[in-house]
Amino acid sequence: MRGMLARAAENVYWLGRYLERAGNVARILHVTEQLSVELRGLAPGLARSLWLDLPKIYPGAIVIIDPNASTEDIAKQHLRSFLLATDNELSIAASLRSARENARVVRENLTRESFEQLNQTFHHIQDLTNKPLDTSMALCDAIKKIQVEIFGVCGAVDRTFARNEGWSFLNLGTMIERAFRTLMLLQVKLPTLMNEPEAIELPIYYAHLRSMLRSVASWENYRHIFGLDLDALQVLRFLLFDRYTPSSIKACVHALQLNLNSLNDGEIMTAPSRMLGKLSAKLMYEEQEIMAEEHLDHTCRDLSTSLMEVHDSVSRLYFSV
Amino acid sequence: MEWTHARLGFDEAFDADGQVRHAYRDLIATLEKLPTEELRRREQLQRVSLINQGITFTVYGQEEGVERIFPFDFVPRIVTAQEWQHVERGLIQRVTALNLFLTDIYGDQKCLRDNVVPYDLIFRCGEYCRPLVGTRPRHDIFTHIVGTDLLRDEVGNFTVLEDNCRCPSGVSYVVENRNLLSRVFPEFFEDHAVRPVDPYPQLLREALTHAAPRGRQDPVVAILTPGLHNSAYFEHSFLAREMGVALVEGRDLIVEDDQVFMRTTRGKQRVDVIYRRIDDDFIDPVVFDRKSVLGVPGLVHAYQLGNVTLANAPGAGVADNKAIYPYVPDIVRYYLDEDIILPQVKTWVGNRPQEADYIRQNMANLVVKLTDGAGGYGMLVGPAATKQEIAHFAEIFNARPEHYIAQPLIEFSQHPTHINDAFEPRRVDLRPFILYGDTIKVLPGGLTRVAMEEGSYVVNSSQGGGSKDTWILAEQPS
Amino acid sequence: MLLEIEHHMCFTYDQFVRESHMELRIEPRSQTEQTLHEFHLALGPPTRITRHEDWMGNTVHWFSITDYHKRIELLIQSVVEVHPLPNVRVIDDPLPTEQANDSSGQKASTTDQMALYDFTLLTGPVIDSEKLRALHSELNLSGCDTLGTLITTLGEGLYSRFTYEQNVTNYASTTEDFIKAGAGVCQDFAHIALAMLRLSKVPCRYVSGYLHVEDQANSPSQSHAWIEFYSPSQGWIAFDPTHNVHPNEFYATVAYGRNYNDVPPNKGIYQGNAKETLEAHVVTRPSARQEPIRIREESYLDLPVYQELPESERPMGRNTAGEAAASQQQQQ
Repeated sequence: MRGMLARAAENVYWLGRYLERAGNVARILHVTEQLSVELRGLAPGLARSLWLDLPKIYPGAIVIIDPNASTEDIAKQHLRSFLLATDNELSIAASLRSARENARVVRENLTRESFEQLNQTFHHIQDLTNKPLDTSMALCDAIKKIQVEIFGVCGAVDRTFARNEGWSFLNLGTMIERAFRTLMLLQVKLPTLMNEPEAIELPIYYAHLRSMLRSVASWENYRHIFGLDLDALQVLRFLLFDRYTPSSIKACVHALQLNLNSLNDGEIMTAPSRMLGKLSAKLMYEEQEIMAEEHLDHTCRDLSTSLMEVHDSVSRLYFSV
Repeated sequence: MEWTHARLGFDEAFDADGQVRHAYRDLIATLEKLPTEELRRREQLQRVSLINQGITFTVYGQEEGVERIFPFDFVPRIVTAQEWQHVERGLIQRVTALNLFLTDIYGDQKCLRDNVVPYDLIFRCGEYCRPLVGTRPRHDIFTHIVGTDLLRDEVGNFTVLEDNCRCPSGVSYVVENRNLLSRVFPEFFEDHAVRPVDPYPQLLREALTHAAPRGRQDPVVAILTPGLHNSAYFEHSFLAREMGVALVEGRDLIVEDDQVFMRTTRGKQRVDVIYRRIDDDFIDPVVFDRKSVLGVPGLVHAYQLGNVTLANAPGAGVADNKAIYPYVPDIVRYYLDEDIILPQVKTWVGNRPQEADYIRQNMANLVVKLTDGAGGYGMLVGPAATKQEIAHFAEIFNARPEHYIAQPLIEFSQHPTHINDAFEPRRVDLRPFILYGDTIKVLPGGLTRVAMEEGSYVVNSSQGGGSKDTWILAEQPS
Repeated sequence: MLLEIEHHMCFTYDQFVRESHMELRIEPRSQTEQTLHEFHLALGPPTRITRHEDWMGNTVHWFSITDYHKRIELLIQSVVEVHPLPNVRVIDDPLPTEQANDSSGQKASTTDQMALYDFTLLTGPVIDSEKLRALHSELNLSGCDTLGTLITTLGEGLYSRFTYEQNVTNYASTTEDFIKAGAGVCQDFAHIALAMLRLSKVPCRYVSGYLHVEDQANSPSQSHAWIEFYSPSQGWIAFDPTHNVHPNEFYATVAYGRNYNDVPPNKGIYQGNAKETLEAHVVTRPSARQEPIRIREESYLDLPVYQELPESERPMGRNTAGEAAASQQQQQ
């Protein structure tokens, strides 16, 4: 069987990662703005710190802020930076630019629809650079629109991409990125949420958990299962071990396994399959042990390290022939 | 609607009496029916469509290589079946002769011994590649793809300006322009039998497959591109997508055991035919430019052993060198024993002392070109130059006249073009594409480039040129 | 004279390189003046070697190594019989005139003229310049009446003006560099002689080969370079401008070219950031053999290659989780 050009496979993989990331950032910006507005009167310090958490969730993100600025201004600066800044590698604009560069390089692997949709989205975000967008509301509006367009791109890709090797690499990229983002969110948010809240802080605590679930598009899924029962451990268990919510680690790992298997024709045990096999077994059989651990944020960190090893291993095996 | 006719040269749509030429009657009638606002709206639609499709080229020398769209004028250029038949015959003759010439140059060199072409011209020609003497490409085809630039002279005769035997580009615009026009102006096509251009990728793939090394069943074809930042990258990826072949860069290929392989997710896979869109100088750092990072070390070695086909063959550039151009009529006669079908532009050769004298005395009326220059470099446009410029150029010319040729400034044809809500004449050229597979085929169409500036003779995309859809009409059943 | 020649080349890299491709011109020619009796090429790491002739009829060996490696070694052994030449030659051809090699004149082109044309142009490291032309007139070559005296005048002129000295010029030096430095090696002497002769319209070519030195204690044998010029009456005649002599049977010819660039003993390229070091040495000796046998063969030296970069050579592991996360989320 003829293989896919290694470099093209790598580009498709990164196309998957950058598209997923752009959508992820759009969602988290939106959710953060909502929660921050909600808490501004109730817990001003917290409302502010929500923004300052963002660069921690996205390591490598550079947001230039004025430390004396009002929370509202801080919010605007973050929204703007994560939407448009060219010097912030994690901004939606930067991710879309990278996604488009990768798509251009492997354009022959994409359908016309997919490329045009992506290209159009890219041009729209470029056009935003010249717009004033001087209020949080205007910024959020723009983000919402871009988010819809990103869904459009993903939809076009999803509906038209040939189900060949490239498809598996695209999914590998998407799933690694998604799992990685969930784990980063948990690592940053967990420590403050694990302590039992005072009664008076309960509304804030709930708001926080709600928005965390929303950040990874899992709030509705959670409600279906647990109804009104909302607590940090439960949310953590859900985001790690639920099989059905697309952002959970177990679901991502499962999807990664499926895609790797189709690359191997299900036969040979490759290095990344072995790693994922171990990871999957751990999630399958050690749920109780993991949940009983003292430093759950460390557990999340270890899981993200494992994912990085999978990434390295995939790169070595498939991309550097 | 306002239609201005050309005052100089041949007007493609109107005859000398100002009457609409037969082929253009229906088109002009259709255009007359469209209100100005509607034309504006459609033009805007076109622009957006080009941007969204990413049909762009990269402009060099600007920060980060700005992407630009190639301006498109919606008034199609029409060539009748009868006119085209003549052009087609002429191009097939020309490409046949040029390939026989290349086979000879890299083989026995009979035409040099017989003094058809002066040997010193060939030996001084930068594209003449000595290491390849004795190497015969499969089927003796050197130029699988040729783009020949044609002009229509004062009376409308198609005249050959130059051949492009290396990596001619522009064919993606031929196909995309047609797509665009049929989407934005579907009514144009109602009254015309326009021959399709979209079979090109299929024809190209057939030609490349035919060229594969002996004994390769179902050969693996790849397009070799310098990469994303090349100005023609869009075309490279367009052709790869439309042909269903891999688009590779130099770093994706490796020569091992004298064979060429590409690095795939399932290990190294042999490549049989490479449609390379990288110039000779950069394809193999062992043989050519050592500093090139675009190429593949050992590629030429594998080619010489017949283990891979390179399209076009390295060294083919000799055939389109400006110094060789004046000899093409003789080359045609020598190899085919025929007169040349498509006329050429009158050319004086600096290599011949009497003609060098003529050039010296008439510099102000001539276009003088360096034979190994391209893109307007080392060129004098006499009629447009100042006295000082001519004097300065004369000095350079006298130092080595054998490196120059000269031609009269050609008053080439003009074509109605939509400018500021009116139709004005603008100069156009035509680049048809010729594929050499089991037979020579000419794509019924071509890239019409148009000088968008009033009075301009420059059709190059890098200098504000645009393009048009080019219609070759099917033979009407009588 | 039966000569045994051993040429050893060793390329080392301070880091692993992923690919090497190399073209060698190291096999002595077999022709009227000399016979190649034995040729043996040993190469490590083992890989396929292909042999072909280039456009000048020189033998080229080609190989690629496409796994990781740090060292390439070559051992080339030849046995060449150089046939003795007449000691004194009278070269009384008249000097070429302006039109002799000009095809645009009235004279019809001939196969001979075509074959010589490449050897009349200043190309590659033989660069036309004011300085070059000044040297040409200083040597007073236009004053000579025969080709023979021209060569003698040239030989003496160059010998007295330039010094043989190593490490002044390098393999890429041009005639300009040599004139400026006033000193250089055989390659530079050959290039300057070619330049002078070509300015005088005498066709001439670069010769790469080996020179056997009898007293090897003082100066070891070496790869050497000299020239051949064309005499219409006698054909190609060799001349060694470095030593200002006509070569004898101690000179074994390997390759002809327009200049050095056509015929370097090794010409290659490798992929990687490594620094390359080449150690080469040549040993020659008169052969004791009575009856030389005619063989040509290749063998392999046992040097290692690796499919993947050895673990110890991979970039250092990541330091902190944060750094790792940051570096891992961007395409490299």
